[in-house]
Amino acid sequence: MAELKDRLSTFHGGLVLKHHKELSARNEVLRLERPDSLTISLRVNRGHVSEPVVAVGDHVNKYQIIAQPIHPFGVAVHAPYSGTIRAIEEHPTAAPDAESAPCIILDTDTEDTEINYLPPLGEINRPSLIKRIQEAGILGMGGAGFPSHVKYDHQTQAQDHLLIINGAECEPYITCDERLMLDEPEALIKGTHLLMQAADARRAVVAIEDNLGGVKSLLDSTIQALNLPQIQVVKVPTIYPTGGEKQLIKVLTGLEVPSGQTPLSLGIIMQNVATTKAVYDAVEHNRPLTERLVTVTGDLVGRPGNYLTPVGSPFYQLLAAADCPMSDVDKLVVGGPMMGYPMPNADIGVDKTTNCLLLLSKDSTKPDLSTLPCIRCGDCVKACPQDLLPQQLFWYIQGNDLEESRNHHVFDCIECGACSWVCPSHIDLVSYYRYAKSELTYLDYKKAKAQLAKQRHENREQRLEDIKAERQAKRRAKAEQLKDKSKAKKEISAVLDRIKNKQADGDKNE
Amino acid sequence: MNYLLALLGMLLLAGLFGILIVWVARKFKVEGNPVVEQINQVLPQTQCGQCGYPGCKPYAEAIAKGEAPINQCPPGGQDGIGKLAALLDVEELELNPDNGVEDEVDTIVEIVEADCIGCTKCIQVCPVDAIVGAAKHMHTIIGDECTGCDLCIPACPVDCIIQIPAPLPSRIHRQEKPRLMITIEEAQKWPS
Repeated sequence: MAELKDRLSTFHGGLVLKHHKELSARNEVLRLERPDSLTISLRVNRGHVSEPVVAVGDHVNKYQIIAQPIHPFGVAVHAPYSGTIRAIEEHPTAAPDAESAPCIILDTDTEDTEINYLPPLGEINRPSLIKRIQEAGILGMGGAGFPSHVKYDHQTQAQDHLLIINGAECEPYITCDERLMLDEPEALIKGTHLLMQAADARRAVVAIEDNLGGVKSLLDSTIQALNLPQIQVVKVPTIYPTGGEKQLIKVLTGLEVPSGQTPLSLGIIMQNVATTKAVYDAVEHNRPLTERLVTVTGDLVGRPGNYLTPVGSPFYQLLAAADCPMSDVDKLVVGGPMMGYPMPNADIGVDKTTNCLLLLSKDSTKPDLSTLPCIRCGDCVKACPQDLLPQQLFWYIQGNDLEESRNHHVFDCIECGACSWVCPSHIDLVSYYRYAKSELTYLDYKKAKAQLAKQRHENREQRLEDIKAERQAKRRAKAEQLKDKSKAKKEISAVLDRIKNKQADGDKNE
Repeated sequence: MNYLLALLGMLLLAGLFGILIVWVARKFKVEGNPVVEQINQVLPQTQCGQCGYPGCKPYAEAIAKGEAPINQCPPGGQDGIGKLAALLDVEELELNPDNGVEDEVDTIVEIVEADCIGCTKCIQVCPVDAIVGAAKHMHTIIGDECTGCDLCIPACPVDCIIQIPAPLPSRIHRQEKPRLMITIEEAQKWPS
């Protein structure tokens, strides 16, 4: 079982980055004004689309459920405000490459006469908490968007799990988690306690980075006030990407998550602080997950800070609130500078996983240097926190040898961008790994489909053959029968009789 | 005497090994030609018959016997030919245009259900049983199981079967391969 080490471990590689957090961390959280329309994406976890349960033209109440998951890895979607469904259509979303997905467009109004809170939970125990997490539509708000209830709804019975609350936001610029810990320590610690019950964990660790000034003492005093000594706050060194799930586990416990497995195989469950707060809200206030803190920052932003934003709010509204002139923006990035992805325009809705909007002017973005050949310097190997061989992977993918890149564990790449950052030839290595992963997934799908077709074709051939054999057997039996002359005569007369009878019947009927 | 002993020993050993070989050959006998199965794994299993054989497996058998060249499978495309060439250690050929051309996008078919007269002709030709329906009742295609072989299209007397792009599950997002690195010549001029 996973144990917390007295002395912290380190992971391989990583980077020390300038963190730029001071821009937004010290400003008070502002609530975003109600947007006139929300574009709420129905796709989560980079794949599974939830099914809308409302129709165009319907009026919905605040917190009413508007989409139900059809896949176990989907999540429910709720309306952040009351309003009317204007459309259900494909729309670009805050996913990588602004990929289009089915979205519900909601015209909001202020008729909050009725609010559909979740039903009161009653007794708090493991099954009821897991059910609540599921019905509140909660997913990992740190970025990956993995549906949270799945982590707790595991088959491994009542083991002594270790719960890790991930407050280590290692990406530069992003401060929404830090701000949440500063503003709502009680909600966070209480939420942690709830998650411990959901996870059957006897111990919990809140991991924060050592550059967050007063957070540790604040959380420690909250823990003391609530008398929950089984929760511990640990400072981890600020090395990018400490906040990655696998890296943080390595730092805290010295253990490595095996390739292709989840932390659960080590008896560890990890949850982001924002998710923990969402669970607390769902249990204490019966509120589904419909809003989140979004950091709006960058050198162009007049009022950088954290904004309490309803899910689906268009980016342009956040930009207006943060006093950022859209015309000067060179890059609008969702997420941080390392793992974030640029957006083509600001008419895209905030997702449950959107933690930051980073707005950069031409001066502050890296000039678009042309890519030079790989010189096999090995800097990327030194930087890779997953202990992979980035340059080797690059060569395989470059040469279209995707299978070999799979053998070299391209699927273990967490796309942190450390290799691209250090590459002296400016090769955007991560884009190669993303490509390889997507293409391999596609090829696997094709292969599975071909296997199915092969199976079905063989089954069909077998069936046709069986039918043919059956017919032949029948014919042969008949022929055998007719060899006997008297029997044959009998048979013929029987057939003739039958025909006669039939004709007689037909005449009668007429 | 020694000569005889040695000869006897050798004969004995030869006999023993002979028995061993026969036993191993019986015990680990491989049914059919394993190369056929390997070739069949590379073929796309559309069962479309464009190669001139009634299905992927007969084509695989023909290739294994050396009766058919490896360039007769349009759905497998040039990629598939490359894989076959690597597997069989033969020269990679261009796809034979007589067998058809490689589709740009994967397609499956769909029945325009309003026009279907329920003749069951398409059901009879579908190599993977991906069409459901009964006589004088509307038919429909099971999209997940359709291979896009298009054999049902000519079979339909009312032309109500159309090609559509093959849908992908929402978890799959194909990405373009990143731009190739610049050439050495370009690099030598850099950063001018």
